[in-house]
Formats: sequence, C-alpha cells, structure tokens
Amino acid sequence: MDEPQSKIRINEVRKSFGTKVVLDGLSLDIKKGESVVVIGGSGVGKSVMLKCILGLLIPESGSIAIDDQETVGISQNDRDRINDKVGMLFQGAALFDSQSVWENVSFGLMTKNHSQSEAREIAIATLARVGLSADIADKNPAELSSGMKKRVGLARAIASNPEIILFDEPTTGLDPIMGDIINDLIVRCVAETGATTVTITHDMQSAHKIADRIAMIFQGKIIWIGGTDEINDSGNEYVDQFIQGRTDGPIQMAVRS
Amino acid sequence: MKFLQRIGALTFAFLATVGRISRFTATAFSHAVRPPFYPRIIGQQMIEIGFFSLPVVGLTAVFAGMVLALQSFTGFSRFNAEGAVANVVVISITRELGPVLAGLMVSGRIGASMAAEIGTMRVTEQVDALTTLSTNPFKYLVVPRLIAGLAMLPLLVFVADIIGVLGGYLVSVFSLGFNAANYLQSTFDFMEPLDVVSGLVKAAVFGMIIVIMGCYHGYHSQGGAQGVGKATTNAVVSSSILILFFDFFLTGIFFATDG
Repeated sequence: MDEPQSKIRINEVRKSFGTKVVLDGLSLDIKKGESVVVIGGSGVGKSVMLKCILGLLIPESGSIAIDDQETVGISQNDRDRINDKVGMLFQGAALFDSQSVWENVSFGLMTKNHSQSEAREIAIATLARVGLSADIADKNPAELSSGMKKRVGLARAIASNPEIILFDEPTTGLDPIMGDIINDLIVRCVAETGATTVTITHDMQSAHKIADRIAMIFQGKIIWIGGTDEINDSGNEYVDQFIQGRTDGPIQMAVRS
Repeated sequence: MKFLQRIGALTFAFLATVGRISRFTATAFSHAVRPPFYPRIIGQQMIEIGFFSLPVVGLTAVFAGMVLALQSFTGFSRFNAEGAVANVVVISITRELGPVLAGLMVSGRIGASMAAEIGTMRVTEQVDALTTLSTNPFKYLVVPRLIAGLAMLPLLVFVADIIGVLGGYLVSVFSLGFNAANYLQSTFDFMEPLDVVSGLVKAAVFGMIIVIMGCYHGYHSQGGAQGVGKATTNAVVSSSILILFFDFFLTGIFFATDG
C-alpha cells in the first residue's frame, strides 16, 4: 500500500471561543517527514491549532486527518491510538511535578506495559540523546533550570519514537545560546527519528534552523507558506512586517495606551 | 426589573453549575469501574487522605469529646441527670461530630490540596500533557482520589469515633469524678449499631463530596496562580457547605422516624 501523501491534513478548520473566532477556515497540509514551522503574532491561534491536532480542543467545523484518518469527532480509544503516534513538547515543558525526571521521560512507556526497570533504562538512554546525564534521572523537575526542563520535555516527547512531534514555542524563555542548543537538539532528534514535525514559534532564527517550510497564520488562516529560503522574498507584506518586526504595516497589534 | 433579571441570571448560573458538577461526578464514577486502574496512585492517595489526616482528625475528635463531656455535665447537672453524659457523648460523636468534624477537617486539608495540585497541573498544561501521553486525566487524577476518599473517610471517622468517646471518658473519669467502669458500661449499653453505621455512611458521602469538589474546581481552574487560589477557596467552601447540607439530609433519612 502506498504511503499517505499527507501526514497531517488540516482542512477548513474553524474554532471560536464565545464571539472570538480564533481559527477561521485554517488549512494546512504537512507531508510525511516534513518539518513545518508556523509563525504568527500572539493570540492568532497557533497554540489552538496544535491543541486541535492533539484533540485537546474540538473544532466547530472542518477536518483534521492524520495518516488519512479523520480525527475530529472520533472516540476516545481511537484518539488514544492516534496520540500514540504523537509526541509534544509544551511551551513550559509541562513536566509532572510529582514525578522524578526519569518517570516523566518514561511516562508514556510505563502506560504501555514496559516494566519499571526497562522504562528507566529507556529514559536514561533518551536523556543522553538530549545531552543530559543519568545523574539527573532521580531529580525532581523543580530542581532543574528552564533549559534542562525543555530538554527533559524533549526527551519525553521523543521517548516512544513518535511519528509526529509537535513543538510549542521550544525556545521561548531561554537565552539565545540555550535556545540554539534546543534548536540543534530538535534538528538532530528529528533527523534520527524521521518524524514529521510541526513547530510554532515567534523566533525566526529557530524557524530558519528547524523548518523545511514556514507558514504564517494571521486572523485564523494560513496567509503564506513556503520554503525557508523563500521567506525573505515572500512578496507578502504581512510576512515582511512580521519577520522584520516592524510596527508599521498591515498587522495592527492591539496596544493599550 | 434589573433586580429580577439578576435573580434569574444567578438561578440559571447556579443550576448550570449543579449540572456541570453532576456530570463531572457521573463521569468520575463511570471511569471508576472501567480499566485502566492505577493501584499505585490509589494507594498513595489512601495514605495521603487516611494516614496523614489521622493527627488532625484525632486531635479534633479528642477535644470535641472532652468539650462535649464538660458541657453536657454542666447542663445535665442542673437537672440531676449527670448519668446521661456518657450517652450524650457517644451518640453525639458517632452520629454527628465524628463524621462532620472529620469531614470539615479533611475538606480543609485534602480538598484544598487536591484543588491546588490539579489546578496547578491544569494551568501549567500538565493535564494536557497527560492526554498527549494517551492517559485519560480523569482516570489518572480524579478516579484514584475518589476511590481513596470513599474508602478512607469511613475508616478515619471510625477512628475519630473511638478517640472522641475516649476524650469524653478521660474528662468524665479524671475531671468530673465518674466511675470508669460505669461510664464505659453506660456508653456501650446506650450505643446502637445504627449510630455508628449512619456515621460511617455519612463519612463515605463526605469523602465523595470532598474529592469531587477538590477535583472539579482544580480541573476547571484557569488564569494562573490567581485561578488556582480561587479554585482552592471554592473547593473548601463548597465542600464544607455540602457536608453540612448532606449531614442534615442524611440525618433525616436515618433518624426521621427514630423516637
């Protein structure tokens, strides 16, 4: 059987909160093994898009298919099977406070009938993949720096070798050097696993480093998508304003005086 | 007119909240009977709710029993009915003070901590992270606490009953001059199985209320630290009020026809 052309296919998705329309017919096609970075201002719906892919939010209309299987409106069991293919690095890492570092990394494995010793071994090996030593395996997440938390979050996301990895602002809150280390780790892990990735970020340096293609969201829609080498000559005034960080242009931010 | 509109809006908001809590409770019970189960977390919660609440519940019970003996002695001595002190202590502790005081103390200790823990997990996306790791947050966070609450509150109240009666005994024998054997004889003669059983049933209901309120408010908290603080307050206030309401309701069921 042929591989599906699209790994993730988002078609005409609408999601609103009360009267505020956040996703307004958003469509995006992501191919197998591709790394797509989605950029856009704050509050334009980037995180909402990721949460819709994960099934944490249900769109009001439209379709999200993973491996050609529709995911909107599916049962919890089917959703769990889909989520088995997906790893996620949250913006704040979202490590479980009540568990040690290795338990966090192997959490998804322990729910799939791996023994505790086996899960610990895999966790330590995965920590090594993100440049962390076994010394921190028994530490509590509260004892780690922001950069280490991100790395542990990345280790948790890749521990079960998912086919899809979603990154929610992976470099936000990190200094430029640590941000670049995380970028390098993401590139390396993705190359090793061959996973399809979707990253949302404001950080253009990160976008250039991680992406095969960059897409920009504005007013709940993808308004531009193209290769990383095309973005500086996109010919789109919204993209130009965003990547140059200008205040003058078609994007008007709500600023309180 | 605006006043009536406000009353109407408040009524609808109240009914909507009751509906949401009822649905939350029904979902929790439906998940409680379907795998996967998390025995390790259930065990941890049982220790947290049962064992670590023992000191505070025990202290509350012993002082409640002591005060009850002192006050009832003062009152009954006006009618030369001091002999009824043992009866009043045992019936008050087993039927009312044991379950209600234990419920209120555990509500403050456990309900607040559940709301804060789950609320923090919610606002830091840990609850979402559970979902992405193919773990149902309801089964992982709510069900183990519910099972532990239902199992441990009756045990705590049983211990509180013993300690409360002991408190009354200590004051009566060592301070008020009662004969120890007569006091105990009077206690056991007057106590009926229904007194204890009704208290234990109340305890199980209070355990459910504490867990559901703690988990519900934590699960739906939003807006960062302030939201978690609000969830914690709401959990304790709502569970305390519901404990007192259901205490009245259950007392009516158990003892409405009791002469």
